This record gives sequence, structure tokens and C-alpha cells, in this order.
Amino acid sequence: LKHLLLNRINLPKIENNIIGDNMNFRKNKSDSDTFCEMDCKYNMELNATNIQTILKKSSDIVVGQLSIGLNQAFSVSIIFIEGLVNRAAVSENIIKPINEGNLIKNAESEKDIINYIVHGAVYTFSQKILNNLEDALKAILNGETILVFDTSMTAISFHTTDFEKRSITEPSGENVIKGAKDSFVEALRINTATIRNRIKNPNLIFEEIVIGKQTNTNTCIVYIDGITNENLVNETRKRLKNINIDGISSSSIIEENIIDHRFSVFPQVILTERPDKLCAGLLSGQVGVIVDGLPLAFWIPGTFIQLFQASEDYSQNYLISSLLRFLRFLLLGATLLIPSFYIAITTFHTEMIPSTLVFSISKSKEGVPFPTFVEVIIMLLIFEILIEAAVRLPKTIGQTISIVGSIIIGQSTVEAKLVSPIIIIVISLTAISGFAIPNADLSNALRLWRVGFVILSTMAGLFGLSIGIIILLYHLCSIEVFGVPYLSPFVGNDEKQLQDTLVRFPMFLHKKRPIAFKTANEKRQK
Amino acid sequence: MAKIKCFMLFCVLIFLCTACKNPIGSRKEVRDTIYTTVVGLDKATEIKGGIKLTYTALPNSAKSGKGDSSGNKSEIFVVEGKTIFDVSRNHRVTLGQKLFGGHIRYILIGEAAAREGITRYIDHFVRDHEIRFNIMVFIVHGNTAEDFIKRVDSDNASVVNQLKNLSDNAYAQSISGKIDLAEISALLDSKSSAPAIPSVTLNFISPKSTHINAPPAVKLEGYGVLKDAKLVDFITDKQARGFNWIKEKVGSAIIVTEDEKLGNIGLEVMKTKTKIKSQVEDDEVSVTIKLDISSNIGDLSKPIDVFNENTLSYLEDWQSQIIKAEVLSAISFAKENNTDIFGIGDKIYHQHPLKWNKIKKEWNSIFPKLDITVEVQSKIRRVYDMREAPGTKGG
Repeated sequence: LKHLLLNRINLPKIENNIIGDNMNFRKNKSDSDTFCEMDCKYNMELNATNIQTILKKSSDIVVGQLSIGLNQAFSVSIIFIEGLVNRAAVSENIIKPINEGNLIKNAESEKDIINYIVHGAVYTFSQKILNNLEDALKAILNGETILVFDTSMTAISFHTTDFEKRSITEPSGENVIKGAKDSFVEALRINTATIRNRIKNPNLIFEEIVIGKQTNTNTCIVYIDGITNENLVNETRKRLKNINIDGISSSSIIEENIIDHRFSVFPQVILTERPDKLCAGLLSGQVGVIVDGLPLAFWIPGTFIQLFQASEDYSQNYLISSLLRFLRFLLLGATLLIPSFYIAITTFHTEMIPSTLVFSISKSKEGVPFPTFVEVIIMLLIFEILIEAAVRLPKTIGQTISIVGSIIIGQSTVEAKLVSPIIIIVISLTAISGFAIPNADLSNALRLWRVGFVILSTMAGLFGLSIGIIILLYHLCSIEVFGVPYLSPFVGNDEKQLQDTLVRFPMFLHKKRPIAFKTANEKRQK
Repeated sequence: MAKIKCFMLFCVLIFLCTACKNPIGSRKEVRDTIYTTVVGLDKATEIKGGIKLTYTALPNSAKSGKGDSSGNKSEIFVVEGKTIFDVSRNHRVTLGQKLFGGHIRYILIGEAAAREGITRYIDHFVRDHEIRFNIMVFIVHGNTAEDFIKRVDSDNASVVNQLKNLSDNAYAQSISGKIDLAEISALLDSKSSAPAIPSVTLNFISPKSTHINAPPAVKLEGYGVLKDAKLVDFITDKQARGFNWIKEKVGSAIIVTEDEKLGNIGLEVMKTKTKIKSQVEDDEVSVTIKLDISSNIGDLSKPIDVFNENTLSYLEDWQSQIIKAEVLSAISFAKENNTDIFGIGDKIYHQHPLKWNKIKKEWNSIFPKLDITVEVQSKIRRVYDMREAPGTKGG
């Protein structure tokens, strides 16, 4: 009995040890940066059977056996993934020539066959000889077709990738009236082609990096050599390569892994779905990042002023664009400050309100049981709820939400004396001003700061509000993205460059690329 | 991290160092406050040596029941106390609402109170941080401020609106004007000058109005003239305009010349420029007041052509005569009461500081005998759209 007891006591100990070992094991692996790489795992001979064993569980693998050569003496396997390749191309351009081509028909050894295939006996334009299992697997997973010669342990890959893609559609979020109507799609190659089509320049470079240890997602760094600062490109490459993650399924994985200030709500990398916008960024010396599977591109580095530059600004008359740009800055202030400013002046500084207005505010607050800041917080909350509810709804139901939100909730809260009518005006103004800001990420960032301002002004009125503004400015000034000050060109440059900031100057005055990016080639035009 | 800590410390210090003992306590809801717009100041009737404060506020319909029926009529509070601060604090205790002075627009001082000296009435308003410096001050001619407010405030127009309308339109004939707290306190501080405060009155025969619900007629007429912060007398009408000419406070005025041949002609004064110059000759100070007036012909009553040099210069002379008479009557009034409402003493101080130092102690005896010359230069610039009146044939 004692023995048994001891055993029982010992058992968990042993398990503990195992878990501990496991952890160590994992740690070691991640340290050596190989925990899910293929090479160590598949250290086997390259032949069809091994590939089949590794990929055995997947139903989308197609393996075919062919007997080719003189007297059909040689047996080869053709392997590809169903759906990733163009089947017609495989049968027409690969299988047919190796079965019927005269050279291969009369080939006497596997070596000859391989030699013939690589040198044009097959009607594809990129053939590669693969000598290890890992490369063969990668090629299969990338949508290539491979021929495996078991006896000589060689594989040949053919570029036959052709899977179903979404066609290029109009951008859903960043629509413009005058301007390009195409947008990025999920397929990386189509996106690079769209950019290449816009910038026909040998110096336009797409550098491919594979990110995601499990997903092996192709990611492209885009830049124009000779314009973009080399250090920026190198830094981007370094940071992207340092991303040690299992897979990329959303844009934040890239964004939050490469920015410097991870605790800021302000967008430091700009996302766009418009190729023309990305091209404009490339021309001004920025680096773009495109990820396979995301219909988006990243602009690196993002600066504050770029969040206010809408695409329309460059297709409209410069005076009108300037007015609108200026209006956007006003709206930034409005959406950030109106609720807190209202609280501050109605509860601390009533002498600032015109007499007649203070009377009507006082009248409208009759019977409302809450103090002003509670009213504001109630309405802000309702507003956030409405947004959150409407985001994921289909468009047709979305309208219902807006009706419920505006008419029923808005009117009824007033009628029920939950809030005073002026609060509805305050909050709607805030909301609409927020939507007028071109960048949704910035708009969301402001939503968060707005609440902070409301709290500060509830505590100490305009004084607290001004402290909040100082904190915000301090925060914005302290952000640097890839070495570029976030508030540039307002800060951090010896030279002044205000052609495209609060107002947009006519295009012939945009002589230089943004100096903040320290471009290799400064002049944009003579 | 260190940076953030430093910054937070900095913020806390800002909060602590602003002498805001309790910033949270200073928060007040709009509905818990009474916003006064007009304050009337009188001598107390019950408390000896006290002050009677009459003030109007927005009618609080939560208390009076149906808010809509009360119209524009303000809620009027009459309270007595030893000093103004005492009154407003007492009221806060009894009414449970804070009296907020940030929206006071007008201060009315009753005639009787003003005759005893206005210092005690306006000191609190100048001193207190809550109250604005640009509050307009009026003296109620021939009445108490309490009575004035109670009678003027009606359903159609609250007293604050009526006072606003009056003072906004005071420039049309320039027989009265505006003065704010800042100016009054500056003039009271001055060694030689004295303020003249615009006066409002109910006691006059009002023009017949066809409007049925016409509010009781109020008139802004002239100024109450102060000496040593006490009301001495009132100047009205042309005499008051004479004062305005010298102080360059004339916005516009209609000068009517009455001539047998030309009929009544209305001249609209467009621009005035006043220069007060002091000269010292043989130890004697004399002052010249130069007025530059330009005006337009606003109406004719006879079909004649006035657009020729002779007539125009005749009219210009006439206008100068009228204005000169007004100015002289204002000067003689000031000399009689020995109160330098024009600020001539200050002008001498600026132009001849050494001389002023010698005479400033005797200014009270010098001013009534001061040699003041008035020169008026008139110019008629335009006749508007027509040269002659309709019906002028020939010529």
C-alpha cells in the first residue's frame, strides 16, 4: 500500500517534469527561431511517397503517376494542389508535352528527361529544379505544379499558379468623385501589377518577405529606389523580418508589430485601399507594404498631417481643397472638444455664454435630474452604442438603426427628460464632425481622447481641458514613426514646408518631396 | 517612463498651485444659479444706512408653474442689506440659489441714492472678479431704481431688452450716451475729472404709439452729472449733446436750421472731430475746443435749390452756430456746478504737465473761471440722391 501511495505521489511529479521539459523545449526552439520551420522537421529524401505522407491528410492534393520516356520506362509523379493551379495549363502544357514530345519519348535516362524539360521541352516559362523536400513542399503550397523523379530524387516545379480571385472593384471606404475607381484586392500579384501599371519605372522595387511561421504569407515591401531613403527601407525590412508570429490574418498584426509607440491610439501607419494613394505615397518617398490576402496597403511612416489629406484634395481646385482642409482641422477640434467644452462652460464658466443662451440652456434643463456631465456621458454612450451596433449590420438594416438612433432615442431621451435637448445638439455635432475626418483610425483615436477630455473638464473646467490639450500635444510631439516626427512638418525640421498642411498650395508650388522623409531625391518638379 | 512620471507630477503641481482650493466645488449647474441681468440700487427703507438691491432674473418656470404664459416678464427680487455683498450672500442662503453676477448688463442707480454718492454702490461691482467691467451704468432720473424696474418690466419686453434698445439707439440723436463701469471708476479716480452718467426716466410725455401692448415709455435723456462721486444735477437734451460734442461721443445728430426763406432743413451730422488744446500764456491757462463737423443734407421742406456755394456756406455757418451754442451751454453748466466732466484738467496735465503740477491744487477754483474758446468748423458734404426738393421747377 505504501508503495502504491508513493507511486501516486510520485506521478504528478513526473508529469510536472514533463511539462517543464516541454516548456524548455519550446523556449529553446523559439530562441533558435526555428520552432515551426520545415527544414528540421522534414529531413527526409525527396520522393513522391514522402510528399504524400507529409500531405496525406489534405484532400486537395492531387498526385498523378506518369510513365514517360523510351518505352515508358520511367515513372514520375505529378503533384499539385487542386484549386491553386490552372488545370488546363497543367494538362496542356506539362502532361501533353512530356507524353507526346519527341525528345522525351526517345529519352534514355532520367537525367536526359530532366535536362530536356528544363530546357524547353515543356511549354511553361519557369522551371526550377528542386533538390530537397522542403523546397518541393514550398513550391506545392505556393500553387506550383511539381514533377517528382523518385530515382534521381529530383523535382521540377512549374509556375502554373492560377486561383480564383476577386476582381478589382471600387473602393468601399475611400470613395472619390474625380479620381481612380480601383482598389486593392486580396491577391498580392494583382496589387503589385496595379502599382507597376501606375509607376512604369525600373526603380520601382517589390521586395518579397515571407512572414508567418505557419501561414508563410508573402509580403511585399514597395519603394522607388532613388527616391526613398535607404535607411527607411532597411528599417522597414528589418522590422518586418523581426515579426515572429504564426500567421497574418489582419492588418494590425503588421501595424502593431512595427510601430515605435505601441501604446498610442493614433495611427502611425496609414492604411489605404487605393492604389493611386499608395503610389502618391511612394512618390513622396514613403515605403509601402502589401500583404497577400489583405486588400490594403500600408504607408510607412504615417504622419499626422497625412491623416487629413484626402484624395479629393488633389483633384479639386486648390482654393476649395484648402478650404476643406482647413475645415477638417476645425472639425478635428470640434469632435475632440465640443462635449468637454460644453461641460466646462456650462458648469464652470457660465459668464462665457451669451446671456440669452444661458437662459435657454437653463430652461431646457428643467426637470432633467442629472448634472451636465452625466448627461453628456449618457449621450456619448448612446452614440457609441449606435455606431457599434451599426458597424456590422447589412446596409439595409443599418438605416433602421439610424432611424431608431436619431428619432426614437434622440427625441425620446429629451422627452423623457433624461437629457436636455441642447445635449443632443452637442453630441450630434461631435459625431458628425468626427465622421468628416477622412481617416477612420484617427476618428476612433479622437473618440477615445474625447472621453478623457470630458473627465478632465468635469473635474476642473476649462483649466482641466487645457491641461488635457497640453497632454495631447505632448503625446503627439513625442511620437516618432521610423525616425520621422509624427507632427512633421510642423516640428522637427530646420526647413519650413507648409505647402500641403493646413491648406493646399497650387500644385506647381509643391517643388519638393516631404522633407520629413529625408528622401534621396528631394525635388519633385522644377 | 521617467518622462511620463515627470509630466504627471507637473500636472498635479499645476492643479495644486493654482490656488484652486477645491476646483470640484466650484462646479455649479446652470439650473442652480440665478442669472441677474439688471441690478437696481437704492437706499434701504428698512435697514438704516443699508442698501436696497433690486434685480431681475430669468423667470424660473419650474417654480411658477406654466412657464410659457409668463412671457418676457422677468422675475424681480427686492432685497435689503448692509452692503451689496451682504445682500447677495443673504439671498443665497434664503433662496438656495447662487446669485451669479457674470451676466449683469446694466446697473441702475436711483436718483436719491446717487445724490448721496455712488461709491458704495459700484465698489462691489468693480472689485468682484465675477462681474464684468463693461456693465453699463444708468442713473434713474426722478425715481428709485426699484420702482423703475418694476414699472418698466412687462410681458412684451423685459427691462434688460428695453435698456439694450435704448442704449443701442442712443447714438441717433446723441443726447445721451453710454458709460461702463471701467470708465466710471477711472473718472472717479481722476483728480480733476468727474463722470457724467447717462440717465433714464419714466417721467415724460411719451409719443402716442399705435401698438396696443406698448410697454411703458422709457427715455434715455441726458446725463446725471457727478461731483466728488455725488450726483449734482442732470443735463438733458441740447445741453447733453453739447457735452457729447466735446467728449467726441456724438455718433450722429440731426441739426435743424430754421430759416424763413429756406424753410426747415435737416442736416445729418456724419463725422465729428474734437480737439481740446490748452495754452499757457503769462501764467494763465486757456483752453480752445476745436470741432470739425461734416454733415449731409437730409431733408428740405421747400422746393428750392440749395446746391450752390452761397447757400451751402450759409447753412454751414448756421450749423456751426447751433453746435457752438450747445457746446457753450454745456460748458457754462459745468462751470456753474464746478465739475470738470469734459476731462479738461486731464488734457492740461497731458499737454502742460509742469504747469498742471502748479495749478492742480487750485483746479477747483480755476475751472469755473477758465477761459474756454469754442471754434466750430462745419462742412456740408453731400445732398444724397437729389439736389433739389421734388417740385422745384426750372433752374
